[in-house]
Amino acid sequence: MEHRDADFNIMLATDSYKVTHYKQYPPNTSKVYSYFECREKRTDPTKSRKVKYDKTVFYGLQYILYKYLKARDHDMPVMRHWPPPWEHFIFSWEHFIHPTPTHRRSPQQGQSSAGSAAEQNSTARLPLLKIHCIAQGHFSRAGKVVTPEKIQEAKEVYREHFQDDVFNEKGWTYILEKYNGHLPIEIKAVPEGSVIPRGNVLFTVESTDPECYWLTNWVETILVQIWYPITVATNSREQKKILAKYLLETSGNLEKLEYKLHDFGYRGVSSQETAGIGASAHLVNFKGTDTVAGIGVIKKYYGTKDPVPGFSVPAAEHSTITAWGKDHEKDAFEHIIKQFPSVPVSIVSDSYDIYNACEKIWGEDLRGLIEKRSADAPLVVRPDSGNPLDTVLKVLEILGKKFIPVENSKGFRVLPPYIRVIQGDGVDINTLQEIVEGMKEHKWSIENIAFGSGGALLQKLTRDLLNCSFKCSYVVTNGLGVNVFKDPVADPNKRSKKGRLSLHRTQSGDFVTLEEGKGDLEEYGVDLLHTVFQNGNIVKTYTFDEVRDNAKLKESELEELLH
Amino acid sequence: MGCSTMITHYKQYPPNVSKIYSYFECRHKKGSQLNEVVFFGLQYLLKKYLAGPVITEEKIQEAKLFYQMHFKQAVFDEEGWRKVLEKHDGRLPIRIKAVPEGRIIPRGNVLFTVENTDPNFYWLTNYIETMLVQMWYPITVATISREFKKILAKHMKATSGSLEGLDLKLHDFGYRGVSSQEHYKTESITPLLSCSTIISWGRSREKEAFERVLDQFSSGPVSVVSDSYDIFNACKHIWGDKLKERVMERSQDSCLVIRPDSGDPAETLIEVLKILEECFGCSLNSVGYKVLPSYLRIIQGDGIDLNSVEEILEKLSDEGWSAENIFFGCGSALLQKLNRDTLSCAFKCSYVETNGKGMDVYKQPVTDLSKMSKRGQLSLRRNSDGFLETIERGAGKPEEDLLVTVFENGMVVKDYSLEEIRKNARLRDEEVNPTLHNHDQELLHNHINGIY
Repeated sequence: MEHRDADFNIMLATDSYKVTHYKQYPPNTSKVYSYFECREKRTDPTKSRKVKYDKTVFYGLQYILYKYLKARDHDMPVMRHWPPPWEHFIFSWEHFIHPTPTHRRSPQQGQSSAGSAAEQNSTARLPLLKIHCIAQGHFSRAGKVVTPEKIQEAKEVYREHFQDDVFNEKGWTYILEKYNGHLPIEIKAVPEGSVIPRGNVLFTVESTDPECYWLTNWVETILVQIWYPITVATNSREQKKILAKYLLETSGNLEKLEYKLHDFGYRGVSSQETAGIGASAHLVNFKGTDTVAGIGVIKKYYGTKDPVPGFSVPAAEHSTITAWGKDHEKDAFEHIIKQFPSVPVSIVSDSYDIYNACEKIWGEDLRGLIEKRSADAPLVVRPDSGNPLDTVLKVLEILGKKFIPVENSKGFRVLPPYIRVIQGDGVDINTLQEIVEGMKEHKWSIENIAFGSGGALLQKLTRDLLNCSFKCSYVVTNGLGVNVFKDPVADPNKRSKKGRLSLHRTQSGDFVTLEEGKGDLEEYGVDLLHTVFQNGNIVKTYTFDEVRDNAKLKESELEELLH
Repeated sequence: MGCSTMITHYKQYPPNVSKIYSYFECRHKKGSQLNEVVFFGLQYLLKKYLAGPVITEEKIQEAKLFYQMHFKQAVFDEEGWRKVLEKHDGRLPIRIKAVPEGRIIPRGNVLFTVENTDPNFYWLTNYIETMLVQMWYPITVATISREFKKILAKHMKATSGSLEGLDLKLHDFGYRGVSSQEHYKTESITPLLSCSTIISWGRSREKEAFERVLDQFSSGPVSVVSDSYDIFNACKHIWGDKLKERVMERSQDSCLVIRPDSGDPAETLIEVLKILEECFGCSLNSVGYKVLPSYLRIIQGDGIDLNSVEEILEKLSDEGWSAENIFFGCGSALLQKLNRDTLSCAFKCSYVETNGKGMDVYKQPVTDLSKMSKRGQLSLRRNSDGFLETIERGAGKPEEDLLVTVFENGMVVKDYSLEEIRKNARLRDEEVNPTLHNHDQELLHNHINGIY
């Protein structure tokens, strides 16, 4: 169920300079066609990047389409003055007023996925709430993409912002009157979750009405923000490959791989919305998260067959340890471990001295309590400072002296099942690699450990990491189609593709982007880009289960990793 | 709105805890170039997420169900939240004291404190940690932006003798490069062109594309991206030759701003300036630096961050060019290439009350002493040398405390206007004229880094 802020105004959601672009295209332009890719970067051989990011995970377009671009036909009665939207929870007032989201029903799927008990309750409350709303007069036109009020608002803002009347009021009014706010553009995209090599077209956008040629690049700004979910999902998946390789090598199987990298990034992102999008992107590859916001995004914009797509466990933080006082760390540990006897519990142990905590408190004072725990409810010791690799190795050594490890079938040491370690400080793709390599060298199985990553997972990324870019490649002017491009002399990496594009698979299974409309010729078979958005409507959707399926690690990738 | 594990913390505190008092700081970091921070953004968070009756029965029910599934067991503190609803009408019994918005504070000082006002809700303080820590973002953007301003001001003063136009020197190009719509923006611009508007004319008609722009935007400044094919050719043969007269017709208020967008920023700019000097000439300003004619300027919007801006302005001044010639556009380095580690932003518990007794608490990991936290109740004051410092262990005098109560029991009790915030954040004399105040700078540096 889409949840659009009633105040969102697409006319104010673009780069300022784009407001003036309708005046700059050649006269009699009747179509602008643009595309999005994660450009290849031919690296300078002197700068060797540790991680290559050869392929990217395509994810997040559906969120943007639902949230910002899809048309709303009816005035949606919505409580206008309401406390802050707790977006990560399942419902909002809109949900009470409107029944089961229609978008979840697709011809293939048939009936919509059954909602939770609370959803059933909401429809029962529907009549009461509606009456309440009508009585209170708390209506507003939530979510219509273009309204006369929004046009006015944009006009006024831009007059001040530019100190001039440059806003294309006529163009937007045309869209309002002719299309009732349905945006006359068509977007074709690769299926969500697809893993595609760099330098290929991922989606295309074209205007469908000659009067609205300027609209294609108006929506560039908002569409290019897809760089974020793509980059989080891609970086997360690369880390999954590293974990898979070492887990396989040191244990012979991939059990619990999906819980080996936990999202700790909620507090380290730049906003609530970022948290939701980023966390959902990580959940494409993994199932452990503390960034609750991601779950709401998945349920609302993608849907999953499971009640929730992400899980967590009880865990301590420093305040719940230090609040007991410096001399009472053992009491804190004991109290907490007893509070959660039958599920895994993670306890941060470095408030004063991690090594002492491991050796004396866990290793001696509370050893009896720990040994009683089952394999389903281990104590998970959490260091949180110091050099990550050194700390992990030293912690394992100390614990290994007190809780005797066994050797597994691959000859690596595994601690008893009631005790594990989680490293959640300073973890990024490079340190992750260092730690698992170091553990392997010291004959520790990766079964012993899980990782938490915060800033590096959700925040320490930019559009430049995968060179995400949106460029015009084809226009129709005076009735003639022209293939266009840029090719700056100072940087061949910034060259863009020409003409109408399509994505195909060759006979050997590789991906190839055909330019200049060559995809129309039958030779390369079907275009992998599907129309997902057309004239204001979303015409193709993916469930999160499909996204996960498309993004899963392939046998061939695992084989490659091991050699 | 907490991290999942926050949900379970109410069960983990010592029995009979009646108060949890925590604080937020941007910790010291050895070797960091950023010594002071701009405190900004709390008002937004308070108004958007914490003010008013934020708890309702429906939300309690939703959360309960949700966490049941998320943890696969019942850990959610339903009763606790219901008490907030019943006793306080859904308003959070929390007090937040903070430094005034816009103030510049050296790292390693308390910036705001949070405590529960009702003993039953000790667990609330750290429940809202996750959300309050997102303050790292507006603080870091404002701080970096101000650093840019310092660099620009320094060079402008040195190469032109004045700071005229400083506020418009750094343009925010970051909208497409941020992670979501919910973000922060800066202000005004000139009509700028993008690639598509130039390349849509086709390679052989770049001149026609440029010409159309000049026609369409005859009054007011206009910026034209000129590197679609060959920036140097565009400057020499199109701007500098075929369209030279059209360019010269323009006034200072409607100047043409040429925009390179690829290649090494400093080298490209020097080359472009050379070409433009050949074609249009230049004059010397009062301090002896070269300035292009007033109808012509440049904007560099590619590859700009704190380091490259400094480099570029250094190179320009080495070659005799004034900083007046150039504007900057900054995208991800201003709004996205930052993270919580940039200023080491952290939220820690420093004081608790258990069984009626107060206790100063802290962490002090032997594995990383820079992660040590402050102890006890905190206040911020200006010492006799004029420097800001944090007093720990409740030893501060209330009349000297610069922290102001901004939020109490569900209400925002202090509001700062944009004007006040800007005033607090403006550049000081010594930041614009660094050479004149070296001694003071040294004192400040020593004070911040604890060198005595």
